[in-house]
Amino acid sequence: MSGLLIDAAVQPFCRDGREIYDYMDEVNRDRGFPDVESQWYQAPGGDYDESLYGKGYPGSDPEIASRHLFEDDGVDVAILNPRTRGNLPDFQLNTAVCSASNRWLAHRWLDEGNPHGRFRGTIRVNPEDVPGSVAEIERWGDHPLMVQVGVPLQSRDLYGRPRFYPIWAAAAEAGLPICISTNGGAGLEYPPTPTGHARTYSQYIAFMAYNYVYHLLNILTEPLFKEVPGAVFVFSDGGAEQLTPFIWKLDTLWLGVRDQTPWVDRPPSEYLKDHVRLGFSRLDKPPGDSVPIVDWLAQTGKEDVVMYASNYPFWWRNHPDDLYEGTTKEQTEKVRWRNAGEVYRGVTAEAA
Amino acid sequence: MSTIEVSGSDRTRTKEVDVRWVDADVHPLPHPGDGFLGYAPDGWRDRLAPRGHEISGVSARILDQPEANKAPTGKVDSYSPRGGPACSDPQFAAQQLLVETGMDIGILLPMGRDHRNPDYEHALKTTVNNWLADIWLDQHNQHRRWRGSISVTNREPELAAREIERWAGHPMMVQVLMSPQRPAYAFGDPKLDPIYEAAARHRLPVATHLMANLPYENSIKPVGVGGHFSDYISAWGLILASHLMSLVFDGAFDRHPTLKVVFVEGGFLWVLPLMWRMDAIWEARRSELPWVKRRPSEYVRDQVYFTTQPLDDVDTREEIAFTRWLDMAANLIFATDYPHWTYDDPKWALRRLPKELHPRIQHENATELYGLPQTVPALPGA
Repeated sequence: MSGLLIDAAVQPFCRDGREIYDYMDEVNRDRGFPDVESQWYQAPGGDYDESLYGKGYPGSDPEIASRHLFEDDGVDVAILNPRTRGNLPDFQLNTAVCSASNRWLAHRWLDEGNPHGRFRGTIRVNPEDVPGSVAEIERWGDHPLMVQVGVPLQSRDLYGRPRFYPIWAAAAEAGLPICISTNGGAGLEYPPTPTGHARTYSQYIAFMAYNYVYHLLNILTEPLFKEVPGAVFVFSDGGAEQLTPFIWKLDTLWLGVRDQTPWVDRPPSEYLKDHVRLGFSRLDKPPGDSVPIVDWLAQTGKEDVVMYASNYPFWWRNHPDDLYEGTTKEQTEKVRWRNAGEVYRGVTAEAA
Repeated sequence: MSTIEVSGSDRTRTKEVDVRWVDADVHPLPHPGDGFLGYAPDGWRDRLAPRGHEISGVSARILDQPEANKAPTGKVDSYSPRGGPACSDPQFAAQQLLVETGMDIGILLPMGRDHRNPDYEHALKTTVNNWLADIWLDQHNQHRRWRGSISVTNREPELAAREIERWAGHPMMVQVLMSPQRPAYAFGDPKLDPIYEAAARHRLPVATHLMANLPYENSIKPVGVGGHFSDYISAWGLILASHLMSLVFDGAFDRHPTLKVVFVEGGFLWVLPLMWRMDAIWEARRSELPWVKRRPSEYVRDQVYFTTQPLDDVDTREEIAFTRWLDMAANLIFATDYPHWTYDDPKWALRRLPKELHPRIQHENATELYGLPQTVPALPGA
């Protein structure tokens, strides 16, 4: 089936809430901070695929995850992106938690748990601590299996804002895309929808997939790509089904008020292929044959930015066959590995 | 400017013309000569003091449209020789929009008048209704082409319901209008039930529209606020998307099966993928949503309407293809957004909408939804 399969969104967990403390630096080891679980919007019945409960924490055993992903689903390379804690108000503690996450991931998943060499990792950083984030990227940037930098979707300001550029520049310098994804719902956050806190889990989970739009439109509007031309952003939670309606709005309004953003020198949609990727799952596409999938994927270049994302071990976990019905061979290859191969270093060469 | 009146004093002899165009989004403002504060409810007249920007005359918008300091919101040709803000002179607006542009009926949606204090907001909305009914729906509506919206505050649902009752019998008030911004409650919250009960009782659709992008009228967005007019307003539809999710998942459409909701000027293409996602989530999590008895997309198709403006200025064939996939012939209603700079000219708009939908979008959906007449008196010069 059309060559390689790269899974752009797998979430590894600690065995239990205590394990991360083994990797905290000495100064912070006695601190208290919440677990990565969603505290306020946990899914009734649990956040994870039912079949994964029972043998320790879902997604916490590299061997079991390897079997599910590489043997059962035929994945060649899986990008691991652990959750940290959102925005902890103590920014130094938050940075220390990110550092611990990186040491833990490098040890447990990229070394011990990686005899097959198919796992890749994410350098978690705290965007509220710009120098700390830059230092963390410099510390891990040469690690051959770290392939992206990870920040929480739940930010206090949009990521196109100039205060974040030193982090994006450090990532670009190291050849790493920046992944923006839903983090543990345990830090300081605004309500998850623009109409306030959701009354139902269903509205919460449905709307969270759309919050990437705020970041994306801002990233395409601020002088980011002029200042950091090598920056690439991955929205691994998906939401590609809303890309065309909102990028059309931005192309239209950019034209109307382009004197306010002179650094955006072409329609914003034209930046997508070189600078943006989206995780792609069955929730991000038309159901069945309700619209012609080939045309839909081609519209505003969605076929050039979407990457297969299993979202293992969550309840909306995907399997590769969920995605390709009716797509052309070329589109299928782009979704399976070509689009990921363009932004993640080394994943196509070492995969086979 | 001469007064636009139907010919002669005996209306029965006036020639009638078929309604071919309904404009569902027209924004009247008080003219300085209207004596707006005189329409305030008892005891409020002196308390409705003008806000800072109303005294200085400088644009208060924090995310400014082009050359905002020159022409606050109106397109440049929309200012009347009588002075005042764009669309504050009903005769000039009628000449421009009804006679010259050819709209047969215009639905008026006054904007602004949100306030931090819910009681104050209610007083402001009441004032707007009194003013609109007198100036636009009575004094300058001899041609019977203007229809009004009953402005209410959704932060005091009981007061809002009473305001709806006060106007429900008015022959020219055709919908309820409430703000989507700074919501105390998402639209599906049971606390808003009194509004929906009153509206449904009187067969009045409930519309929502951006009120203003003044600093105090904007809510903080989930991950930060856009930095420029272009990214801020491009994301606007997400507020409506979230209200729509709430209406479905919080069971409002099930509690109010005859309620109709109109999303004005917030886009409509996003609705298609939103229905995909809501249906998929509902399929997966139905046991948690016993009050959502039907597929989410069925509620949307039966109970929700969207106005067309602003259409996107992108590849027309692609735009038409997407609108065909949306397959919502019964839910789209034409609007110009007169007199704002984002105005959609009807001829330009038609080229961007599937031909087979034109009659539904131009007038059929609106006349059914709002109970509008099939004919209106002819206007001189139209």
